[in-house]
Amino acid sequence: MIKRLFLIFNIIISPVIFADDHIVITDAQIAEAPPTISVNAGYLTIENHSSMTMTLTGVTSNTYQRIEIHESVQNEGLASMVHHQSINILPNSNLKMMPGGYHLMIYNSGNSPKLEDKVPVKFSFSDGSSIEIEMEVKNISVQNETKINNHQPSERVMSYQHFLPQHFLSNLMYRFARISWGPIKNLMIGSFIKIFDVDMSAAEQSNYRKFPTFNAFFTRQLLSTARPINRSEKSIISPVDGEVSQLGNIEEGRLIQAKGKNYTLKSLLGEDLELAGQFNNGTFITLYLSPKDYHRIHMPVNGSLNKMTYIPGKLFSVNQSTTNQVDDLFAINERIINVFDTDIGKVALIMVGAIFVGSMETVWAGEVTPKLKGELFTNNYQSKAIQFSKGDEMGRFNMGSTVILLFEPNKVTYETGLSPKTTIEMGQQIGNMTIK
Amino acid sequence: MGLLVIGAAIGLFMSKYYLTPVNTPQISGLLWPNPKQMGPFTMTDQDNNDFGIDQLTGKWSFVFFGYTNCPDVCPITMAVLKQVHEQLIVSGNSEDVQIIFVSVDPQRDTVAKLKEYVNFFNPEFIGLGGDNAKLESLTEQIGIAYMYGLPEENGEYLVNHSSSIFLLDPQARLISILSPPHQIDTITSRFQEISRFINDNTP
Repeated sequence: MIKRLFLIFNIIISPVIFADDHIVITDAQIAEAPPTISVNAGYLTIENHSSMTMTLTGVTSNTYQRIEIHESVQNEGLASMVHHQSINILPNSNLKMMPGGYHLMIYNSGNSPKLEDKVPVKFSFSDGSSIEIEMEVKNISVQNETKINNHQPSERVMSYQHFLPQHFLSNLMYRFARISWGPIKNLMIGSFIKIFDVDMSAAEQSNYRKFPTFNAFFTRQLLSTARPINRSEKSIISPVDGEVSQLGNIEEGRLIQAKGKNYTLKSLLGEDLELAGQFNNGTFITLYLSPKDYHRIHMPVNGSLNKMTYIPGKLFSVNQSTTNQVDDLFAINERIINVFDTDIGKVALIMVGAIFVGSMETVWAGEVTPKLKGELFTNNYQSKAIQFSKGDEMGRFNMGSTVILLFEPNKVTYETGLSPKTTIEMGQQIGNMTIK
Repeated sequence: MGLLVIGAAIGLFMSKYYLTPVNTPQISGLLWPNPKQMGPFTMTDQDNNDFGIDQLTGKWSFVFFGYTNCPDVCPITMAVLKQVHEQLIVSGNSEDVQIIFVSVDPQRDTVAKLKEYVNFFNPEFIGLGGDNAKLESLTEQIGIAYMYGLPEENGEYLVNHSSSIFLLDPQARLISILSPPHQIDTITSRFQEISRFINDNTP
């Protein structure tokens, strides 16, 4: 652990190299428009891999005199555009310019770019650096899940939970769970054990009065012998205690949420198209942790952390009845997407927040929620400095929730006998790696 | 026992009386039981023909208000409607459906420009324009807002406009307002639910 902390420290103080080495522009394209239309929209992703905020101050082209940075804003049914003089891209995060949000407004002065034209465009930053790329003119087809506003729940969702102040309740729970005054704390833990029939015999500390807070009880450690880890070389183990909610193939970019309900990989991954491409036609398994379960999350395979993305969102319950009812539940709720490099390619471990999940934490970043609530961000850890062995703890939920594992195509065979409602324990084998 | 039977009978009668005429279905966004009946208006279509209430009658109309110099929201919404239209072709619902783009920028959007604009998405789509008075004869009935930004030095200006899609039934009644974010599947399935409901409730 000390070693790991040291490595994290190293990443934080790693020297800043020239900023322009750290800016990467991807998915750049200009939307084709009818020839007499004098404006075109440009879309792209600017990745800031540096440890400082980069400010985009200008976009220019030899072909077109005027390119502006605009943002489409929807307010009470009225669409308008906001002209930005500059735009900040936070350290280790991406700025996505996509339909319905930020975009380049290219005035073509009657010289409309044609399909497949390549237009050189230069992006200048406040530190004096710049980067020049070619933007290809494409027919921007709209995907079904393209949302004018990101991270908005589908309109069809109808459930009483919509009317609950989810974040407020969860914040309240966050505070309650940290009360250390004995009578209240013991009452809370004691009733919880009774209500949810918690088995304390596997806990390292079996006397519930000894936990300093409810949260300490909730994320209690188990006896080292309680969860043996299947160490066979090719095994994939369950990262959590809980039950299987769904498992199967990711077909045509869609995953099953519940019987008769599915949702898209892209929306689950917060429109990260590159990542969605990697897992398309792969497999998934969704594991539900009930309140009585052990709440630490462990590594299903050996791996090194590649990146972590936090996606803000709602906090619906993830229990079976809500899962059956609320559309796109896992793509609406607050979540952390952890991507690891492993022997079977990329593996994503997605921690989905839920109502009363006071917080989610990972061992390398500490408490990710609720502290950083509100803004989507991605941290890249491509230096492979953070390494885990199968079975190592990688994070915790501080209340019941759900973990979704994603694997690339043809990399995993699940254990026969796993099906919805199968109860599993952390460390138990859930599948085999298919390695030639 | 007798009281119980009478009670049940009254209950049954009341429930029939109160529930049947209203019959509000579980379809979100359906303006029912009092959809707004559209009245006469005159606009010009992309082929320079008059377009008015008669052209709305007998068909389902998806109406979107925008302007051709809008680079982001309008083309996306039109692309969504294009794909909704394709889904309706597949499901066999497309014959009675028309997709209408109404320009709220009469100063720049000429008939020729509108024709090219709607053709770019689908030659079957309808583009409506006209002068301010014609435009208002339609927008005032639907109750949509649009505002012009100040022109910049090159004369270009932005227009703020409604981003909802308005659905009118074959009796030219405003039956649903679909607000963004616009999702293809949602719009298609909602249209199918609504058209089924209206067909069932049309004498």
